[in-house]
Amino acid sequence: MEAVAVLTRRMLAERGRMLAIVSIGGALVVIATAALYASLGDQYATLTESLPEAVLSLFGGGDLATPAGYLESELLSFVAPGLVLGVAIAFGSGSLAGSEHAGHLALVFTAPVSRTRIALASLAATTIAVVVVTIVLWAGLMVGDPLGSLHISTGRLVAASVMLGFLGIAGGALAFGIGAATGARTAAAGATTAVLVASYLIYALTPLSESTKGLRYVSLWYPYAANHPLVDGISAAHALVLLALAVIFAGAGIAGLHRRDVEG
Amino acid sequence: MDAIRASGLTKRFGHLTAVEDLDLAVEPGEVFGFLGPNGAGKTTTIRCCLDLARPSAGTVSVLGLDSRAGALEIHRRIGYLPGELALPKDLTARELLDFVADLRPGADDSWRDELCDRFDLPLDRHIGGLSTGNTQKIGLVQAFMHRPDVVFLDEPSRGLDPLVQREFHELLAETRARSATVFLSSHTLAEVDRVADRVGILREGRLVVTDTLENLRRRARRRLEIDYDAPPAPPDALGALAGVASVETRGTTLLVSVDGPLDAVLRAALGLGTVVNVRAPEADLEDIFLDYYRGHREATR
Repeated sequence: MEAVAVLTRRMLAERGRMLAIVSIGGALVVIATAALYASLGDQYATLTESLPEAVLSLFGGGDLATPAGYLESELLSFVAPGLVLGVAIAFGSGSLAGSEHAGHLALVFTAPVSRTRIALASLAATTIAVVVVTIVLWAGLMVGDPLGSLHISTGRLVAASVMLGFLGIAGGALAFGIGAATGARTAAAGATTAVLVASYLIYALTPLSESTKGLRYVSLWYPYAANHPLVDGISAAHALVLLALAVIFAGAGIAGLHRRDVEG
Repeated sequence: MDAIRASGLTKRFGHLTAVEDLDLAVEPGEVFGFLGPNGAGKTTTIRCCLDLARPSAGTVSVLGLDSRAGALEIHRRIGYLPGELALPKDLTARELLDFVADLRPGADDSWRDELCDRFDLPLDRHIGGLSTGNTQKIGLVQAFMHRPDVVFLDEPSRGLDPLVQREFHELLAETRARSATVFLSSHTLAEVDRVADRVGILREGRLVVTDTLENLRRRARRRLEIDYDAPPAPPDALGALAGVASVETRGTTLLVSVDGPLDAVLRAALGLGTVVNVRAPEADLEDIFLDYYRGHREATR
């Protein structure tokens, strides 16, 4: 596994600057958003009373008048997931398929390292990147909570961050899976983004009509969004579903990588 | 055991056949030059040897191991310089070599240092700021630094100045001397002439000839120019001789292209008039290859 460690380090370093920028920028967004609750809180409650159901649904559909509801709608519905998934997709599609297409893996694919190990290194780099950005965002929450007088417990903030992390891992694994199986980096990033956006919209909008309500469970977004960690804590079942999806995507990607020609 | 053996190797990409029914055997300790026009299938053949590409039909083995089943062990014992070397720009040469060495444990650091010295490699500048030639040097060092048993080089001289090329040729000689094998794909005919023991010429995916350069020269098309004191008799009989590719009369000169033995041709030419002069230039290497490249000759295998 020495080779996996060497490759993982390399894959992380290649995209390290992007990871740092998104993490720190994201943390600032989190801090600012959380801090705003102190001044916006009451007005927010009045505003949301007048919003149509569809819009509320897009924002996660929780009780928006409370601190937890505020954070959930303002950050956890798509801003924070967007940041985490952005990193996940960049690493998932870039560390293998992207590097391969750039010709950077020619010497790796002809080294005495199996394709499985190369794939595992990419998955490890993606997972580590997701963990890093998630931790930095959580740090932002920890700073922003007292600034905004939200008074949400540390345990709940951790729970919310952990769920973000699992979502990132699932999304990163999907980007990895498509990239590894096809070698097409742009397609992997684009397709994953499209799937996640569609999943988000399906999750948000299908409950609005009786006839489409059931479709909600089919959405990939469901395991992430269906529980409310800021209110109920972490849901192990939902986290495990996301993890299981990640394993399936990763496995499919590794199998595809073994079957195809690679560039070099 | 052959160092490299291809049997019926075929590689298709959709409707395009890049390599067709290739049979090749490269012996240990040989420097084998692989030549052919662009798109002939040279790089594809190398990629099949290294399990980067999978054959559509046929087999390839390196050091007696199947290219697919034995890929890991093969990779342990080979060195590779890709045709279009693309190294990460954010690394220095030293960092890149460290990275490769980490993937290939057990290599001799002092040998690697010696190679860097011989090639005058700028070790601590970022690859992004290096010229093609310097980047190519990094490629050469990483291909040889772990003393592989077989080295696959795809267009190795790209961007190298003559001094570096000479150093490279010495390295090839040393590699051969320790009974390691070099499989070299090249466009530079003069280089192949200097370093290769045998040559294989690939054209449109098919191997058209494999032989030593000496034999190729001996069998090469010769262009005879025979001057007479007067316009010679019509050379119909001469044109009908075996091995005569073309005959042309220009004033008092007869131009004959001959593949193979000259004896019968010269005897026939003597009968066409009084010969004043004969010119038979040594077969030009470039002409030899170009004839094969253009498909004017198909040799028996």
